[in-house]
Amino acid sequence: MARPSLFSRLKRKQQMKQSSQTESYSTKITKDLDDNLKNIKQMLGDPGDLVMRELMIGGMDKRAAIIYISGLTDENLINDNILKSIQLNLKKFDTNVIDHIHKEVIAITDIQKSNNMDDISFAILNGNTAFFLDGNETILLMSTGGGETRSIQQPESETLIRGPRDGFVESIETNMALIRRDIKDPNLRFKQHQVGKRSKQKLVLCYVEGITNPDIVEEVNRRLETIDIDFVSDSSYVEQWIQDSFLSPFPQLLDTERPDKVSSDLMQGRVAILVDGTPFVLIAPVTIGEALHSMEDYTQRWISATLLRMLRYLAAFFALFLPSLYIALVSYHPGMIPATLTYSIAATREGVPFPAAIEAFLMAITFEILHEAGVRLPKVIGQTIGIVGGLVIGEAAVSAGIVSPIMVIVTALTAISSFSVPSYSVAVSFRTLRFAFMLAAAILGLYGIILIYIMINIHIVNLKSIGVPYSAPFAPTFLKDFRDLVIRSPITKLTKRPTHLKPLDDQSKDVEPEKGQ
Amino acid sequence: MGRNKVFLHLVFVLLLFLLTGCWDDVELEDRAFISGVSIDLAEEQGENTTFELMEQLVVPSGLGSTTEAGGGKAYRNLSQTGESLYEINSAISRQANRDITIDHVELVIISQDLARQDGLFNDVIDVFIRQQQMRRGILLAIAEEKAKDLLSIETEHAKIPAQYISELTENRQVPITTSPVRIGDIQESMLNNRSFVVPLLSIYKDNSVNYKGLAIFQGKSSKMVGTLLGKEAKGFNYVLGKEQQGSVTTKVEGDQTTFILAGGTSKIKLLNKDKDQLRFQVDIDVDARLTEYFGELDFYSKGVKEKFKTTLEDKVKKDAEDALKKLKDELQVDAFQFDIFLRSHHYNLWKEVKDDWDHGKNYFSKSDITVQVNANILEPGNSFRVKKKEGEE
Amino acid sequence: MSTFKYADDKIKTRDIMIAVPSMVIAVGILAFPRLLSEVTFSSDGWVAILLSGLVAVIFTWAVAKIAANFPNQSFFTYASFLVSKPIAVILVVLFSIQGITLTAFEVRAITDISHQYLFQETPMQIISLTFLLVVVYAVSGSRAGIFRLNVLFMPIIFVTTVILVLFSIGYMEVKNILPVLKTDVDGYMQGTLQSALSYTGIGVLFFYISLVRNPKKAPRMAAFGMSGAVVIYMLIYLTCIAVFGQSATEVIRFPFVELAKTVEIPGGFFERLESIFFVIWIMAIFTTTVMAFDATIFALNSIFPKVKKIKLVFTLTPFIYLIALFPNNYLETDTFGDFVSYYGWGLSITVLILLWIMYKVKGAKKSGKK
Repeated sequence: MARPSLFSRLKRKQQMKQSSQTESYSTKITKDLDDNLKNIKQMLGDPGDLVMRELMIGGMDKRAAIIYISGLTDENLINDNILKSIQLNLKKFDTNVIDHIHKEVIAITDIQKSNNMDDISFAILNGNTAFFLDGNETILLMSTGGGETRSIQQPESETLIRGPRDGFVESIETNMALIRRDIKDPNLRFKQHQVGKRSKQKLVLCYVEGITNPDIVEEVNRRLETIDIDFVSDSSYVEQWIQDSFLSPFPQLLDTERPDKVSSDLMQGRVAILVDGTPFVLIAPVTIGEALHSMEDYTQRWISATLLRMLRYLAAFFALFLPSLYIALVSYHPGMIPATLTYSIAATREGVPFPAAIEAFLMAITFEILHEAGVRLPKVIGQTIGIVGGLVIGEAAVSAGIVSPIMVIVTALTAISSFSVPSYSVAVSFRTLRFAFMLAAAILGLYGIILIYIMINIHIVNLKSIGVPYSAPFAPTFLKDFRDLVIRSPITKLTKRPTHLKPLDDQSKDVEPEKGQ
Repeated sequence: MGRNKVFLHLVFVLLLFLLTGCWDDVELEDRAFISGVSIDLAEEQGENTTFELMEQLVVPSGLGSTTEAGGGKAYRNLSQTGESLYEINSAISRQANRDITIDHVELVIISQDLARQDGLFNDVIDVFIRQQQMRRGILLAIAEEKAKDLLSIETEHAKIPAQYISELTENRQVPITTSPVRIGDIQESMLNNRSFVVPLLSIYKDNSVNYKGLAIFQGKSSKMVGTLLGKEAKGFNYVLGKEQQGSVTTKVEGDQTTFILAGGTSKIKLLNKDKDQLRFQVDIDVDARLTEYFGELDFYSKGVKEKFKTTLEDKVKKDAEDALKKLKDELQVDAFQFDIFLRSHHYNLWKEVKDDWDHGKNYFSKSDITVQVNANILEPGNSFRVKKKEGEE
Repeated sequence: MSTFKYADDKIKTRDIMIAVPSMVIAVGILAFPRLLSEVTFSSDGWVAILLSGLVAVIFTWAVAKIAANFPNQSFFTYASFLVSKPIAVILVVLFSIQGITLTAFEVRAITDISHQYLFQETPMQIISLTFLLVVVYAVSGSRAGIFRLNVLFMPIIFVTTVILVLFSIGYMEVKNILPVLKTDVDGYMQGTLQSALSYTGIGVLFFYISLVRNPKKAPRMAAFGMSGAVVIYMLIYLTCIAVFGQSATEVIRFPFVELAKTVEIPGGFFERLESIFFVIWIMAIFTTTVMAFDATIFALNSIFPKVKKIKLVFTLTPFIYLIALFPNNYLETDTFGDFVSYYGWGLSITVLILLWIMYKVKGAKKSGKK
């Protein structure tokens, strides 16, 4: 673990800045316990949650101290397995006390020796306990991490009717364990990285060796190493850092809170990126074909799952095109609407002061504001938003003659459709694109819509997710992957991994090797 | 390259939006949709033929919605006279406060007077075919009197007269109807110099439209040459083998009987190849159901059924022959389009006669057409008697 | 084997199969039934389509074959080998001119037809500029991306066509199709020529085959793709004839679009389909335009390897735009279109024959092929 000596750098800076201050500390471990304690204290700025417990060892006349941060550690563990052991068990005089304590006395599995001040302070900040012995330069670091964490709950952003109920939590160890519980394959790999120059968070790249194409793993590793930020509050930072094109409205890595989703994606030859401190795990590479898939597709029977998927495609179509089609038809191509409908739309629009485009933008923006407000508000007040949105904006705007009733229908249908897109990040990108379509429709009618559509397609075919074309498996076409694309074939037919990910092992060994493309 | 690309993306998106404007944007509520057009000859004629064009504009607010009834009239008729239809149209749009939109024209009514003039009818049709927003599916009808009067008839069922009339021409229960005549079909017929029929409408006294019969157009001159009314129109449809719906009333042993036709077909056969005396045979098949019968015969005995059958056959045959007589001998116009049959099945013969089919030498009128009818009575109705036979107890 | 080679700039033979109909199907087909029914009688145009289709398929195969004989070599490389460098340069320049004029023509045609079916007031310059800019956006992307675009768009176009044909079944009349086979030989000849002209653009295969990683199967796939285009032409022609009849088809400017205008979906949400149909057809025209433009860039890049692709694109775009705006009315546009077709065919056939002769003379021995 080659860690840049951050603390020493910090110290140097501080020294320069606070040259007037008399207090200064050394980053060297000395044999003198008091010096060491003083150094640590000053290095961390003497925080209130730093616990220093000085003690005498057994019957010996030897001073020692343990240091930890309360809240990050499991204090029972420290009391029972460290303090008690040291105070009670150590009675004989020993020449090499520290080794003795390390090997025999302390009842904690993970103990390390260190004599580097940076390592020690880092370990303390990570919830470890440091043991200092007077007259000794070797310090023991004991893994006593603990403290309050959130328990495993049902994921809030992706609820399913049927399927496992557990969701990831903020602790990366728990998350790794959740994946391990699903996949008991010895080839499951957790490659550890560290992100956050100052936050020093753990980041784990997870894949199954022998399935995932090594090119993907290598590429993701390479990109992860380029990350250079202070603090990663969520995996989305990582996502934005390693994605292929930051101009794209499409998510090139998928996020999920569901261990079952991660496991099944790992089994398909993808990689997962876990970041400490967030329940959202990233999955890569993803393609446009996956955008409308949900884990629930696999828990339903295949016919209903297929129909549901098609429904989602329809909903996606509505979410993207409906308001723009409304604008184009009403303002540019009234001949396309059946005569009777034309007249009734015209009748309802009689007296609406705005052109259809303005009307649509007004409603769309109002809806986005409602949506945003609904997310911010606490759940209790959240219902108010529904009332405000439904009654005030809908009813009142119509009766005040600001928008036409048909526009309210269009907005409502669009809104519902965009919520039926399973992945939130995909839904967000659809929301963005919807506005592009609306603008184009307002300017050039259907012609504008198709030009934007073509442009989006051009963008998609040039986009890649970790080197995999984003438009796969549609184009380049992988006909074998069509089994689980728009339709979801019966599980018994889904014996192969997606070929567009070029997995090393395509699962069913009896089948003859794939012929050259 | 990377930077460059980013820049490109941005430039294109921006250009797309900035360089454009909304030239064709006309809001729905700013448009006036024409639902029907009527064309008459103007009362005062100038040097060239002067038309009187009336456009029926829909007033959406008058239509009301599903929840609330609309108030006021649902249409607005605007008319102008002039020599060019397009110019009249522009004159009308000067009258209207909205953009006149022709996308939803359903119906064109042309007055008989105009249709009977030489060379005017195809001028009128040309306007409708050439206009891009017009559909080929616009229905066409001929008005016996003034065409514009038809567009003022308001009924309780339809708030827009044009809609009322177009629904009327599409109603298949009327026995004398031809299938709705679309402008596109007319163009096809006129291009091939084929004669054709168009629904003929007139006005009842009580302010509703009467589907009176069929107007016959000769293909070559493309003008109206005559009419088929009532039974003749029925007979016309028998020969055509299309739209054989509606009722037939006849007498079986002195008792009035009405049949409902449930459809049927006709088949044309050419019996010889002598172009100066072509002999056609038309086999007509009709299926019928009994709807009204005031007599007392028992349907389930074989002879009786036979009796009904022959009566029906005779009746159909007579109507068909009447229609044939009128068209072939009197008007000498092949609105049946026998020439399509010749063209499809006797191509070489057709090539010889096509230039003088129902005009010039008029091979059509020289031909001899016989009719054979085969009727099939499908069912006698749900319950076949209201009153017991006398004497039966 | 297990690397992500498919993500780079190479393509598969299947992409060629889809690229051929994408290239061929464009503006021409909209007016094609009219042109064909002008010279043939009744529904006899299908014979002409079949004959010309056969010619086109064989031609496509031959073009792909000669290019596939030199796997992974650019046109310029193998042409210089076969016919000496200066002539190869001339050929590349001639092909570039074809590409530029074809692009300009497609841009112009889309403008004209949009004006007929979508807009009245919007200035032509804007319609063609927006379209051209989207084309430029596609061309500045990766070359493999263009082939992927074909793969994405082709099914949409095909399905739209089939849906349109299905909906028009209710409007078809037997009398419009009968009688059959009554056209004289001269009519068939003219019809064959007329429909052959619609299959322009196969010349791009000279260039694109070099992108195929393993072009052994490419000729077969290209011919197969061409047959697909022939089938679509046939389907569209017959539907137009069956619905309108020959004599009406003859006088309708764009019978195929008119078909969409005639058809009404019973109980449908859209009453008139021609706008939406034409808008979808823009995608078909788009793929052709992009490939024509991209092939030009590809060709020019082979003689000026040092010039950046983007620079070429930006140099050519204003020219294309100006050429597209050059014709003043529909007649001039049609003449322009005829010129592009004849030029394309003439050039491709000449080059093909030239290359094959030279290949037989010296290529076969030297290139060490069995």
